[in-house]
Amino acid sequence: MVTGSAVAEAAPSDGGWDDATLVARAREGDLRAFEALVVRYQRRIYQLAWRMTSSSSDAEDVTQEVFLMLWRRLPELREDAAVVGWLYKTATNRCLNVLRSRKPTSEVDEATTPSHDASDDPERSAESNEQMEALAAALDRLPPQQRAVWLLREVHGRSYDEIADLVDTTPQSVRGRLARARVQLAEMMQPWR
Amino acid sequence: MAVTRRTDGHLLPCGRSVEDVLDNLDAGRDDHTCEHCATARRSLENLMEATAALVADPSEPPPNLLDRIMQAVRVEARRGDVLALEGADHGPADVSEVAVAAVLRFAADSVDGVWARSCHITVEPESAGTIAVAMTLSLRYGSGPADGLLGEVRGRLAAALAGQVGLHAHRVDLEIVDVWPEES
Repeated sequence: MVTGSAVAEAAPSDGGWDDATLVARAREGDLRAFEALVVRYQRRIYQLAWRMTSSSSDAEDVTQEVFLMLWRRLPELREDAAVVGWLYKTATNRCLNVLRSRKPTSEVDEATTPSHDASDDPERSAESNEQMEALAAALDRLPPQQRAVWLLREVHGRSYDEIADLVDTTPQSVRGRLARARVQLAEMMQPWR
Repeated sequence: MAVTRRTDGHLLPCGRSVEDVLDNLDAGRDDHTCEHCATARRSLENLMEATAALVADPSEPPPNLLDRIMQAVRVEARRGDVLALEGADHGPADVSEVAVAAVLRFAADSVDGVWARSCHITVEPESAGTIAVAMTLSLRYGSGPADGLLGEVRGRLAAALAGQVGLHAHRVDLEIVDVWPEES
C-alpha cells in the first residue's frame, strides 16, 4: 500500500464543491477538503467574532477554536450540508463565553482593527467607515446576546428559526429582540430624545 | 403590520413608539407624522446605511489565520485519535487507507459530472493486495445516464488502483447520494 506522504491529496483548493461533498471528504481525513471549508467560511466567522468581541486577537482565537472543533466533530455532524449553521452556532456560543469570562472592567483592545482594503472611492469609503465606526461603538454597548441576534440577522442574513435555535428562544422572540436592538443602535448613533 | 399602536416599545415624546416607526420604514410606508417621528425615522435610516456599510466591509482575517488553523488540524490528524476509519484497525494502516481513498476520489472526480464524496476501503485479510471499495458520489444533473457515468467511474478506479497503488478491488460499491445543478 502507498503511504500517506507519497500521494498528493486530490482536491483542488475548492473545486466548486458543495459543502456536503467537502464535509464528507474531510470526515475521512481529506485535509484539502477541510482546508477548502476553512477558506470558504473563515472570513464570515472571523468577522462575526470580531464584531462580537471587539478584539481581533479574541476573534482569531475563536475562529481557530471553531474550526478545530469542527474537525473534531466531523464524525458526529448529522447534516453535512448544514455545516455553515453549525459554524455560526459554535462561533456565537464561543463569543458569548469569551464575553462572559471577561472581567467587567477589562478594556477591549481598541487599537486593533482588521486590515481594510483600499476602496476605489476614498471619499465614500471614509464616509462609510465613519458610519461603520459609530455603529461598531454602539454595538459594543448592546448586551452580548442582543448583539449576537442583530449581527446574525442583519449582517450575516441567518434565518429567524436558526437564530432562535441558537439563543434558545422562539422565532417570535428573536423578531422582538431584533427590533429592540435596531431601535437602541439607532438611538445610540443619533439620539432623538 | 403595525395596525394597533404598541405600548411596550420605546415611546417618543409624541406618544408613538419607535417600533411603529420602524415597522413603517421596513414596509416602505410613508409616515405622515410629527417631527419626533421624523427624527426617529432619520436615525433608523442612518442605522440602515451603516448596516449596509458593515455588510460590505472588506476587512479580511489576518493572512496567517488559515495556516494557524490548518497547523492545529494537522497535529490532530496525525495524532489519529479523532478520525477512526471504519473497518480499519488503528495504526499506520489508517494513513495508507486515507491516501488510497484520496487517489480513488481523484480518479472518480476526473469523470466529468461526478464528484466523489466518501470513500471507504476495506482490506481483505485473506487475500493480499485485494480490497473492497465503497464510494458515494454526487452527479451533475443532466450529465447523461447514470449507468454510463458509473461505468466510467469503475473503469477509472480500477486503472488508478492498478496503476498508482498496486492493488486490486474485488468489489466496488458505488452509491449516488446527491445531484448538483448543471450551472454549478
